[in-house]
Amino acid sequence: MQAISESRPGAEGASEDIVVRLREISKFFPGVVANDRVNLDLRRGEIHALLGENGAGKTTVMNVLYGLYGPDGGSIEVEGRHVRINSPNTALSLGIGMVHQHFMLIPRFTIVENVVLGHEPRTGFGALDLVEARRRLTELSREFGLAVEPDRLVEDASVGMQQRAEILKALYLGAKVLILDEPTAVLAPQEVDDLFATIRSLTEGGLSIFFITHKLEEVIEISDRVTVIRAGRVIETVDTGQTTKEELARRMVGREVVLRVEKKEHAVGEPILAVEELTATDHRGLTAIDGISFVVGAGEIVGIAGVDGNGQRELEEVLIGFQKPTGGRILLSGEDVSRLDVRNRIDRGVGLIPQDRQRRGLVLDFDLVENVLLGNQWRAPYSRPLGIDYSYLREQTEETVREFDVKTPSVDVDASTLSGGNQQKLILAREIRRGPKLLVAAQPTRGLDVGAIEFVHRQLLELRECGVAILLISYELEEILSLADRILVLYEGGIAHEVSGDDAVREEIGLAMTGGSRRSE
Amino acid sequence: MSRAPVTRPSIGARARRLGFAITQPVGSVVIALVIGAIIMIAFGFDPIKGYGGLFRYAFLSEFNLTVTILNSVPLVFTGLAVAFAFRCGLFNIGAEGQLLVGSLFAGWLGTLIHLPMILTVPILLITGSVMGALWALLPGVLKATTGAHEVITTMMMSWIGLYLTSYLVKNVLMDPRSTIPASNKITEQAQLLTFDEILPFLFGRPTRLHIGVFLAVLVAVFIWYLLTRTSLGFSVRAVGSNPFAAEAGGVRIRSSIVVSLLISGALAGLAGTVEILGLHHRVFDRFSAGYGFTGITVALLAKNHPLGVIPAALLFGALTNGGAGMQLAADIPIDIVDVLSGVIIFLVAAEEIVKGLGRRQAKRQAAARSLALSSGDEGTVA
Amino acid sequence: MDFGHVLQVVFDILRDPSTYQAMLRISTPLALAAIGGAFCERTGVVNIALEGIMLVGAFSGALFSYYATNSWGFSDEVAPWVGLVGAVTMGMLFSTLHGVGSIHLRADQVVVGAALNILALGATGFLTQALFGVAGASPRVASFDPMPIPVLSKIPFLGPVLFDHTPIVYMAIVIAIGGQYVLFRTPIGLRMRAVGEHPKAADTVGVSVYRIRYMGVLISGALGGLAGANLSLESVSQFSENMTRGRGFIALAANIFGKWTPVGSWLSSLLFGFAESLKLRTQVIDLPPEFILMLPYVLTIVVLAGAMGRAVPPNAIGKPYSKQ
Repeated sequence: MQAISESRPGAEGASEDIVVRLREISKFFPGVVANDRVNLDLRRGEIHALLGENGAGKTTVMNVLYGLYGPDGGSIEVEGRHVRINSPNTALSLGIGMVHQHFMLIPRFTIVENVVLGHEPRTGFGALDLVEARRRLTELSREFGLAVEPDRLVEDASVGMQQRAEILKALYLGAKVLILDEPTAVLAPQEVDDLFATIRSLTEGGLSIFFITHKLEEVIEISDRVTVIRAGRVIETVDTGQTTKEELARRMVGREVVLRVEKKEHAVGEPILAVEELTATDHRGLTAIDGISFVVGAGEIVGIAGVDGNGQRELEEVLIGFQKPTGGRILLSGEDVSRLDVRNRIDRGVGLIPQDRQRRGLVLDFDLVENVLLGNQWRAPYSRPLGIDYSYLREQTEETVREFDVKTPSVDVDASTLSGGNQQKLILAREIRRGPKLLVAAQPTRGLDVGAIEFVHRQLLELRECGVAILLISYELEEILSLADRILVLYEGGIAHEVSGDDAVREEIGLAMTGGSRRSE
Repeated sequence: MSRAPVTRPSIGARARRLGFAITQPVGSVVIALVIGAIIMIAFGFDPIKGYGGLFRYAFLSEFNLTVTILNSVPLVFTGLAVAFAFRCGLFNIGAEGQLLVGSLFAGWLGTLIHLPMILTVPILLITGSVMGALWALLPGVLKATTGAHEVITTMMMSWIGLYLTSYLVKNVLMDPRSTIPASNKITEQAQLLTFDEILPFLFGRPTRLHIGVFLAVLVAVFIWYLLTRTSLGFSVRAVGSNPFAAEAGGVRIRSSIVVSLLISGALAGLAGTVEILGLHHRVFDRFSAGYGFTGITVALLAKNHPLGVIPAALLFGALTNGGAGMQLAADIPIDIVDVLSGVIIFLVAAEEIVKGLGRRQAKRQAAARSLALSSGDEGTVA
Repeated sequence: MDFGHVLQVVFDILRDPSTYQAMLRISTPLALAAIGGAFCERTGVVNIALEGIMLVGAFSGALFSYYATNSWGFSDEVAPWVGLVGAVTMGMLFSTLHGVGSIHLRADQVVVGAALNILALGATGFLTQALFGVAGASPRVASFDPMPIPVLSKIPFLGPVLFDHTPIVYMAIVIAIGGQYVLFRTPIGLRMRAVGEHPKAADTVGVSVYRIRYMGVLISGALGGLAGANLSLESVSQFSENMTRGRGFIALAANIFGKWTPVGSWLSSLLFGFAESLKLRTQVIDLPPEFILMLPYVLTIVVLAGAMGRAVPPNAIGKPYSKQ
């Protein structure tokens, strides 16, 4: 396995040097076929993109390869040998490493502790040998040009450094095959370039890479071959050079894709939300929002762009009232609401589509009826002197489900049984039907498939036309560019850039997302 | 837009849900009884004689049935106490202390008060519940403000309550003529009416059954309504299921926590008060036979459903009463009842055993569907 | 009771070495259970079953010591050691139930703990009557005598305080320090903490979450059993029903106050040990005995309220782990 192959990416014919081959892999979850006889192979030294929509089954098949899930059918060959991978340990011993989309790092451990966990160097007495661990980590970090600070706590490290630590962890464990699950999701455009350079240097070092993504540009830019997965099945595997973005898009979705939504011109009304010199702290008490001011007018969509972890979460929490600001004011139609609790803000017309829909948006083991009640439970006509009017509520829920096309066998099933897209529709419906003046939409399309994304976008634009003020917080720059009337870039808790939607230049925004424009000022 | 008729949950779906909700606890009880039998055999006792004795002493004869029902009355209240807090995600394992404190003060006042019965009884019931609630206030406030775990704090308050009531009974309330630590008798007007007093045509002979039986059922129904039909109950349940979503839905988490524990404590206080007013008519030192702790088992066996608490309380009323029968009939230590309780809670909590089977079946179905669809070209990823 | 008198009583208590000796002695079962709790909770499993585990340990200690002298022919010196081994073994066996429920069956850990507490109460009561023939308490059994350490125990003041104890007291100190080392300086400790913080991360690098959690639960079983043995094989020399009297919960609080560390658990147990040791002073303190007996419980609440917010619990505590 040490030998570095001479075969070139995309080499054809019998000389193919296959490192990993998956045959007919199937994986079932209760009620769901996640993978249906998937065939895949990975050539030595290649970057093989797995392209598919959210929920298509890309990550599942890689989790099978990494031993996190046992397959319900099919077989795996590594270096030509049949193997049974029933735990990550087996996968690691076969030289397969994985960098998960949500980093598998322990926030309260240092980077070096995270890297050596599970395969710790020991002193003669059997104690943990951190000196040796640090030495090996530094060595690897130099060899592959992945700069990290070994003794920094993960929770204090930047997202980029965390990602490098993840890759180093896999390398430390001897990975020759690396699975990268949506590695760009958390990065700013400039950081993506660095990552791609790293990935290329890794393949030059003899590694072979599975690259999971749902972004077409990335496939074209970085991969040698691409496999399109849809609804748990492989649609095709092609050399990247032989295909186009449009063709891949069609295969991925199974129909033509409309990438942009129609946005009508209209005038912005009076200011609904005015944020003045707002400051807030994160859960550790460090400043997360640093004196920002902005206004959202009636019928306006203001997009908050930025890389995850620059204060978006805290902004959402402060605006809805989960936490109180440490300074500044939040004005809703001129009234200071910054000291009011959530209920009072809802009463004054604030709606929220939370970033974390299963945690904040729904009570998963309540049925749809009671999930529609959430946020209305004290309000007439739902609440009556003798209790909740359940028959009225039920009627409303049925109407909601019909109107927003929430796919469900009945309104009596638990919210947990809905798919992600339908859960999001339910939240959206509940918030919209309450008739908000201000809607805070945080990551409203995360994890949704194309159809659901279109639906959500259309709804947001409809609200805009009805004169609702919308604050759209998203890590997807594309989404912001296509919806927002005005764009604010959040960087380290401050507004690094402000531009109207029509004048937005991708590169400028990208630069601001990494703090570039601040420095240049 | 024309209004479509509102559908009702299908009878079948409802029945299935109810079916699972009932079979699992019942199954747990049956398994626990079987385990109990195995233990008896292992230690040389005769389980047939034992369970025979249990059944006889729990149900056969008017006297035994009366005792069983009387035993289960406080258990309905403590079961409700634990269940209510549980629906808010709080585990009140200190109901015993709330019960003791609540009933002590109600009983105390009961020895002093001289008002018409129609006023006396409600005043005392309120006193008992308020004092019980008060004993749960501190754990509630601490949970809401500092996050101190209510399992520890309610348990500690329970011990403190035990010693406090013990002190008060021995040093302040004690009837000088009594040889055991006990208070004076409560006044005539403070005592709950018995069945023969209100229904002389049905109960010719005097009975110890008192109107606390009705009160227990009434309160259970009231708590059921409160939990499932009101805004307060909805908020409490939302906090118990997902406090983050509840918060986003405008529920005030902290006050929900405090209110839940107050209601829980009040119910526990009521348990002891009804016991004093209806049965003992005086306060003894440690008169509660662990009703607060058995309430935990009752609540969990009822899957924290307020109406399910009634049959669960009856079962444990019968077990504690019949336990004595086991001892008399087959010499089996009465502690076997606690063993059964422990096993039952364990099995009810480990519902995964049953759910796990269901999951496997769902997976088989998915596999089968995939095979059936293998000729078509559309997948079925939900 | 005037102020001067109160001051005098407090002063007398504080300068008496036997105060500190009693504190160390009485804190030992709390400390052992608390350290067990620290290990268990560091791996992510809440253990309110400590109370029950201690009770099982106390009963088994008495039982094995009883059989050792009466049936197996051991001397009175050896019998308590047999009891100790029995207590530790039974504690571990009993805690296995906690493991099965909380880890494999993914049940609510707090509820499983409550179930085991009730089960322990019933089982020890049942067995006391079934095996010893009397309800409520076992006969007296052979127990540990103080083992003064030569020379050191002769040091004025410190000698009796630190070096004139039963063996389990010394063991607790060794276990606290050793436990601290294991948890924070060894690979297995790193893995335990990792599993309690982020089980999935540990799983993805090949650390078996279940195995580590069982390890944590079993350690709490062993130490809880030892703690129980200390109750029944120390001065009282017998088992009596529900003799733990909430100590398992106090130990849990001590573990939290000690920030889920072995040494911290041991140190905070001293505080509770001190409060409990005052019950030996009812003659000099002019308070009703009930109020003195209340003191450890009051202290527990005060300490817990103060500790929360400052001590950060393991992130994944109480959450069952499931791979899929």
